[in-house]
Amino acid sequence: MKFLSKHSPFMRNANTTQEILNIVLFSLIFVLIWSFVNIYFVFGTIVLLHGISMVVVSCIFAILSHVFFHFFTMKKENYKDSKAKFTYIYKKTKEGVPIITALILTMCLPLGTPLYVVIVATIFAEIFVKLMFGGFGFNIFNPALSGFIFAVISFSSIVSPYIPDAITSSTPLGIMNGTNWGIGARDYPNLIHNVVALFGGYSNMIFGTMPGAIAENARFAIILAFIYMGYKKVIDIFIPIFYIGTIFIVTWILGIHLGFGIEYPTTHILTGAIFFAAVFMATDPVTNPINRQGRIIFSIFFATLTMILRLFSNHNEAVGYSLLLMNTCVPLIDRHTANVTMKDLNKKKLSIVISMAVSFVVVFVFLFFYQ
Amino acid sequence: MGFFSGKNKVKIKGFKDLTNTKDIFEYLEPKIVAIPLRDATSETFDVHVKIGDYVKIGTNIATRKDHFVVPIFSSVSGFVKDIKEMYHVSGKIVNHIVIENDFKDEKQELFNPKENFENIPKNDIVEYIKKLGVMGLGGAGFPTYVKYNTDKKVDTILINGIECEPYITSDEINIKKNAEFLIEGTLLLMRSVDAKNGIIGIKENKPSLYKVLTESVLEHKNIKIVQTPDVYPMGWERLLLRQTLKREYDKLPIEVGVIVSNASTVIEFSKSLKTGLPAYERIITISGNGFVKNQNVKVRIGTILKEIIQEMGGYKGENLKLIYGGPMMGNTLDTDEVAITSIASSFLCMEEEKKEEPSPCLRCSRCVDYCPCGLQPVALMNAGEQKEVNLLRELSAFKCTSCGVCSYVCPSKIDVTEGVSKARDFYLSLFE
Repeated sequence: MKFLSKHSPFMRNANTTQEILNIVLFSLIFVLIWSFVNIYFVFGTIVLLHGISMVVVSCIFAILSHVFFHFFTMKKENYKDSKAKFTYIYKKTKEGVPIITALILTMCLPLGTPLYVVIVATIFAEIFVKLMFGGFGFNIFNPALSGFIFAVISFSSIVSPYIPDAITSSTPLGIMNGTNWGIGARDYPNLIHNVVALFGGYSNMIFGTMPGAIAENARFAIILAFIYMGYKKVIDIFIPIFYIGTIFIVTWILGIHLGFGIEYPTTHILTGAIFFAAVFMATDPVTNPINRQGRIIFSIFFATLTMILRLFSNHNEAVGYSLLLMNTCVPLIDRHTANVTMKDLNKKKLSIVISMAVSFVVVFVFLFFYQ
Repeated sequence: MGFFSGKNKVKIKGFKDLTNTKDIFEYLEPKIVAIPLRDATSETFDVHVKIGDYVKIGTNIATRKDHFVVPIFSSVSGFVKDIKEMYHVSGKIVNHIVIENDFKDEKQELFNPKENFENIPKNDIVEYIKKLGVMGLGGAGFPTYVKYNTDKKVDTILINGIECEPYITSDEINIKKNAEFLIEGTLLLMRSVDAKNGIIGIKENKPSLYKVLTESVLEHKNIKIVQTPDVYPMGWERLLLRQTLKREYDKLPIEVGVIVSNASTVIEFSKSLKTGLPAYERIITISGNGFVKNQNVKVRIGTILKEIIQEMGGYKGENLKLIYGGPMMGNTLDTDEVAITSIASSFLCMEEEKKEEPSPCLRCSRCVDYCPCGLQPVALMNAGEQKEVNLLRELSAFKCTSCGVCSYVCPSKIDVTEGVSKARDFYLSLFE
């Protein structure tokens, strides 16, 4: 009798990576459809068609860049017939998860982005940020986010939130950034109310459409997707909670300091890409720390950076820049939160409190020097 | 468990109903037995017999002679036929003493049987443990007398009846049949180190076992039966201590005043005291879809596994792997011509399922979340491949117990446990 020789364990659970990715993909498509429905009812068919074509083009070029990359980098002598080559490319492309990256990228872009910008951004994201680093699982930066930032920097005048004759060019984020979120204007207490009223109130911010990125038209769907993915344990729910929570608390205190009420933090978290970035980009497991303590510290500093960039610079992409910066800090955070033993638990709680405190201090030090 | 420490344990389907409702199959008359000259990690033995000698059940045939002294005994009566090298369950080639059974079952008692344990003087208890060569039957085979021969203050004796590995039910069956022995032995061990409390831990999904045990401890108020969640690896003493007593220790449980013993160890010890003979039989679980019959078997120590399997109907299916131990931590055997050791609790035979190709690591951090030791398995695996000694030290490579949870939960189907074990072995080999 001959027996096989294997290493333990001899039982595996039924979860697969594909299942995890499918749940993320499903959530993304849900958010996308929600925002397209919203767009259709508010802006009409032409804008909707443009949005759909952005998504389709991005997906096609994402897949194509994977196929071409693997075709040109494969060791051809290892694969004799064309069938083996095809299987290799198919497998590698499937492993590379091009569609999720493409979807996240297009949902970050504003509705008025020309198609060639979408194509360039997609190719940059897939080839230079993902595949050059060794493919899915090895990338340091979030590929979709890098592609978005690349598009914004390279085509800053073209990537705009409007389509001629359809949408106004002003976004709530743009207006608020224009006034530096009331930091300089203490004598203007109705600023927030006016801006919110201009865009249809809070209910429209949550349920309706908002000029800006595609994903901004579906904040409620993003919340639903967050609950679904958290229930399925695909994402760590504490990243969005700590990220949005830190922003809320910091801006609340800041708002009291500036003479605003609860509407100040609410407007902060309901403008821009904060919800989308918190749920779909910051939780990307490849580019965030590996244990929970690290992930919470990551979220707190991510929030701090977002606040600094948003309040004290005039960029509309504060969330994107700060997440890219935090991606570079992940190995550092991982290294310093490596060993989890039961004895260190108090230290861990302390580290969270300290990073929270640092976050407050940094924002207010900036404020002090700004004024 | 906590917010920061991760879950530390995982729920695994038990497959225990394959064997725990059936009667015990008995195979007590082997033609030959082969007693391996290896326990736990040691192979340095003084052999007291030579070929042709007549031995009885209970004759001391060899003694471990490194830093621990553990005698081993014959399990049948008959003539020593050979001392030869054979394949051992650990996967190594080890010297075995082969004894031909004459089916007379003559016995040689080590001491007069003790009817009443209360008459045994307190200071003699450890001496009896040592004389009987009692080893921890949980799987590690650590000599029990070393644990109890201590000057430190001990307040609790924790009896481990968890048996968290899937498929294995030999402890459960043993406790159910010998609950009286377990309680008596626990009381005796408590007396030997002046411990006030005794705790017997069993899983919460064994209500019948819980009933049997609670009924037998009614008159002993200082022994408590504790039910633990049905998770893996609950039977690891660190996790069991955390669950039952909420105590943390650095290296050994004795640091926090606890001694942990396996339930079967205690049962065999008190049985031996009653008979005056060392343990020469044990119950092993034969289970898995590769065997025709799944059942618990009572065998003589040293019986060749092949004979037992033949008696039970043999194998079925193709691409079989024969596993010594449980499916999570066991090791595969190349042949079934191995002798049952005193610490072997189960042999499984499973059909090899078609394995998916591992996909790239997603860094989903499930392995980190579920690791009972609080390690970072994939980081360790990569550090081990790169042979980064400093990083391995920083990541506490030595803490890994190879429990298999990281491979079990991995959605990418990467062999994480294999990689981490290699990394740990590489790291530990630097200090030898």
